[in-house]
Amino acid sequence: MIYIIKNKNNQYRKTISWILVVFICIFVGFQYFLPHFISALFTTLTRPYWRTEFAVESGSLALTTDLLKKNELLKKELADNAAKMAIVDSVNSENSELRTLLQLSSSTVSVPFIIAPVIKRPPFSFYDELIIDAGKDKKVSTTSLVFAVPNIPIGQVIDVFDQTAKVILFSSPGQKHEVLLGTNKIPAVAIGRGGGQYEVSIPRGLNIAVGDFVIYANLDAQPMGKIIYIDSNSSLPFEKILFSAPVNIYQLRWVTVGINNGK
Amino acid sequence: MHRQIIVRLIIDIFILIAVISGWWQISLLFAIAGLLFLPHFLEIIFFGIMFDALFGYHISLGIAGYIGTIFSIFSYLIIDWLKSLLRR
Repeated sequence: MIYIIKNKNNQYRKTISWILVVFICIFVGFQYFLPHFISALFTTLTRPYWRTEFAVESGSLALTTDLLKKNELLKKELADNAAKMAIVDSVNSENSELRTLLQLSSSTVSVPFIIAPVIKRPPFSFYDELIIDAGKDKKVSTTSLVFAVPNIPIGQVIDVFDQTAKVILFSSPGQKHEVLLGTNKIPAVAIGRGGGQYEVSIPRGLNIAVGDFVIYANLDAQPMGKIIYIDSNSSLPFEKILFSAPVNIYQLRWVTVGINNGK
Repeated sequence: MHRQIIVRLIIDIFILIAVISGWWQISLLFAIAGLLFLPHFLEIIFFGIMFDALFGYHISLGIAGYIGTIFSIFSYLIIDWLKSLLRR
C-alpha cells in the first residue's frame, strides 16, 4: 500500500492563503462600511509619537540659555515685523477704500482661522500631504483650506479625525487648479508636480517672464507662487512654465486653517 | 530559531519606525529584506495597511491611496510563490 505523505509546508501555505483571503474580505468590508475606522485607529495610535517628534524638533530638549537667546531674538524680530505690518495695514486700508470707491469686491479672505502645527510631513512621499494637529476638536472640516503664513493657499483638508487632519497639497501630483499668470492675469490651468512645484502650458508669446506672480483664480486672487522657469522651445506652439510656492513646503512647521469656509 | 525571531523583531521595529515617520523608501528596503530572508513575512501586509491608513486611504488620492496595501499583498504572494517554486 502506498500512502501519499501530506506536505506540511503546503498545508501551512494553504492555511495562510485562507487567512489572507478572510483578512482581505474583512479589510474591504471595513473600508466600505466604515471608511474612517482604520485611518482613525492608526492615526490616534501614532499621534503621541508625532507630537513628541514635533516637540523635539521644536527645541523642547534645547538648553534653557539657548531658548532664552532664541526668545530674545524672536521678540526683536516681532517688534521689527510689527513696524512692517503697520505699513502693510495702511496700504491694505487704502486698497479697501479704493476698492469701495471703484465698487470692486474685497480682495481679502475674511474667514475665521486657527493656527495648527504640522506634525508630519512625509519626505519625498508620493502622497504630497501634511498631517496637522487639529481636527474635529478645533472645528476643522473637509471644506477647510490651509494657508502657509502669510496667507498663501497651499492645500485643502481631505480627511478629519478627532484631533488630527490630513491635508492634500495643491501641488500634489496631478492636482489641477485655475490660476492667473503675470501682470496681465492670463488664465491657465496649473498642474501639481509635487513638493510645492506647479506646471502650466500656455501659448507662446504672451509676455510672461520669470519672477512674475501667479495668483489663484478661485480664492479671491490669493498669491500662489512665483514663476521660476520658462521652457520656451521655438519649434513648439506652447511654452511650459514652472512655478513654485513662495514658501518651502518641507520647512513648514505651522499653518493656518480656515474653518467653516464654504469653498 | 531563536536568532531568527530576534532578527524578525529588529526588522519589524525598523519598518514600524520608518512607516510612522513616513520614510517609505526605508520601510520598502527592510520589507523586501524581510520577505526574502524570513519565512512567511506576513507583517508586511500590516505595515502596508498602516502606511496607507496614516497617509493614504482617501478618494481624492485614487488608487495611489492604496499603494502600500496593494504592494504589500502582491509582493508577499509573489515572493512566497517564488520561494515555493525554488524549493521544489
